[in-house]
Amino acid sequence: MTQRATLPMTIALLITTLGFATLIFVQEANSPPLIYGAYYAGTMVALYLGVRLWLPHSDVLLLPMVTLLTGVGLIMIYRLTYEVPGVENLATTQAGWILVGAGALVAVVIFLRDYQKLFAYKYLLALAAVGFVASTFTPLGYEVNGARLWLQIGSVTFQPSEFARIALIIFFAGYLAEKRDLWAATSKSFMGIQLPALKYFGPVALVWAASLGLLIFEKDLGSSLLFFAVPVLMLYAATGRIAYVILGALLFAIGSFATYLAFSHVQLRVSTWLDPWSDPDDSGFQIAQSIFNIADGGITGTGLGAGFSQTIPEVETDFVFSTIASELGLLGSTAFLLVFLVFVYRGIKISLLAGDDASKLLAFGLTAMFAMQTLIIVGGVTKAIPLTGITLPFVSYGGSSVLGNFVLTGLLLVVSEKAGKRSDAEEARYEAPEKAAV
Amino acid sequence: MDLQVPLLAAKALLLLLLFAFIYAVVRRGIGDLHSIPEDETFVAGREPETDGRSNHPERGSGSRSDTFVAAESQNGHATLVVEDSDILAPNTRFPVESGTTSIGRSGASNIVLKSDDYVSGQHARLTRHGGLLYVEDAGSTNGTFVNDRKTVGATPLRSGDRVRVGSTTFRYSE
Repeated sequence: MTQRATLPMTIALLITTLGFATLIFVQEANSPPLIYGAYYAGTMVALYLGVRLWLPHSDVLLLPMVTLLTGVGLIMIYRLTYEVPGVENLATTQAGWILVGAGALVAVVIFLRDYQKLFAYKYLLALAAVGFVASTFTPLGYEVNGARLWLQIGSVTFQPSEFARIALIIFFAGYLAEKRDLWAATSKSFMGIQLPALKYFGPVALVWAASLGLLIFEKDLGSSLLFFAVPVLMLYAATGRIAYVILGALLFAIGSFATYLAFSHVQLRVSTWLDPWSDPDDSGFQIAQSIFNIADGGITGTGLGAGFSQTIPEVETDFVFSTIASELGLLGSTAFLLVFLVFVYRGIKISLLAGDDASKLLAFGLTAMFAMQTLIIVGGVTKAIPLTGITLPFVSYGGSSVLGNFVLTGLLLVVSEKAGKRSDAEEARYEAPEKAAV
Repeated sequence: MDLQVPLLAAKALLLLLLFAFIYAVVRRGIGDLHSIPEDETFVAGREPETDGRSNHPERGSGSRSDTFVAAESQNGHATLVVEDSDILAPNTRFPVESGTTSIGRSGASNIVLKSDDYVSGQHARLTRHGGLLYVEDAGSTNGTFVNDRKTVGATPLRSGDRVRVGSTTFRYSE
């Protein structure tokens, strides 16, 4: 895999520096304590060098992308909040979270270097995931904007579902790798599609019911969509049976329609999606402002600090992409989406190169989650699909999200280390077989 | 208006840098596209690929149908016979029981290949599924070979196939 990425790394840090310099010198924003910038740059460079040293075969190209995404995220959060009383320190808090996330990535690299042992605990991890999600219903959990997905322990608040997702992906990777021959077995076909026996659709229905339950009780549309779509995609990757995806889409359509009929908050989301202009000052305000901002950006954007995206409620979390589209324009936001695309491409590549089924599925599942999350929130803020409140990975403000995505990157790195080692060994195999390490 | 010039310059520079970043990342990232492993991935459930086996003399001339193999294995006299090995005597027989049979250097394996440096602790697994015996590499360092082709995923075995683990070659017979 790619072992050198110093040039992209340098450019990513340059972009972050240039962004802050623009805000400070051109827009005359109050400078945040520069020590935070030094912390941030130091952390990312140390992370890059550390990963190259510890995981010499891994796909280190992921790190410049993480640097760019978090860097632009910091610029945007700072730009949106430096003059807003009460939240002036949001960017420095986010820098702190990035530091914590980098620590978590290092911990993953050190302790989960042999990540395959995780698969031995897959049922425990699944249980932990369910426990994480259920924990929000205990007195420790509380609601924000109608969605009950926050947990408070002492003074620390976090979203357990961010971590539940990763645990669940590890579980599905281990489970599907073990059982995939069963799921793939087919007896009949319908219109050229191979149909597995009816009983194998049971787990799909189970995951569907669980995500529907999440939707009903937590009122969190984005999370429940992720909890459903990622396992179905992994099942497809494991078996190559399109029937699971078709059935999954059907079940999803039925579930969405039923919840649409049953819940007013879902109806509200759909009506503001279809027609935000019927109530542009209240329910449609957020999405209408988002579209105004994106349109205001034009081709090259208004320039940093010159837009008006502070008007969007929740702009630094869910709507951070609108700010990017507004201030960097079509060109900048396209480049930004391309970074996400390349990240996903590297993830799929790691999955292709990985040696065993469980690792392949793990890398694919993590990548699919990353991709789905980006798709859902970017589609939401551009009014392509109904808006659901989830974060843009690495960019949005939010500790749990940043931490979760760093852990995800750490797992991709350790999988790529093994995959890289294997493909290097493959090339050397014909000359001299190496001695088995175990 | 004079404030607009630095902003414009900063904006242009930022966009330029963003695309430079994309270029740098893509150039590094796409370069290894063609290094995807050549061995074809086993797609579970699909008909096992037969090339690489057909030129194998020991295995009848394709007259043996799948159902026949399946029916035969129900009798359960499947064995692995050592054909060539640095560590085991030729013609040593290992019966393959139902359930999972493990092959490896560790003493906990069902088939122990002690003191072969090219065998991993847990090297390969044999599993029975629907009348067919599948061999699957258990993440070994040097891989498991069926008829001299490296296995990817679970590979079904037919009578007469040769399975190589480290320096040992087994012949599978039902």
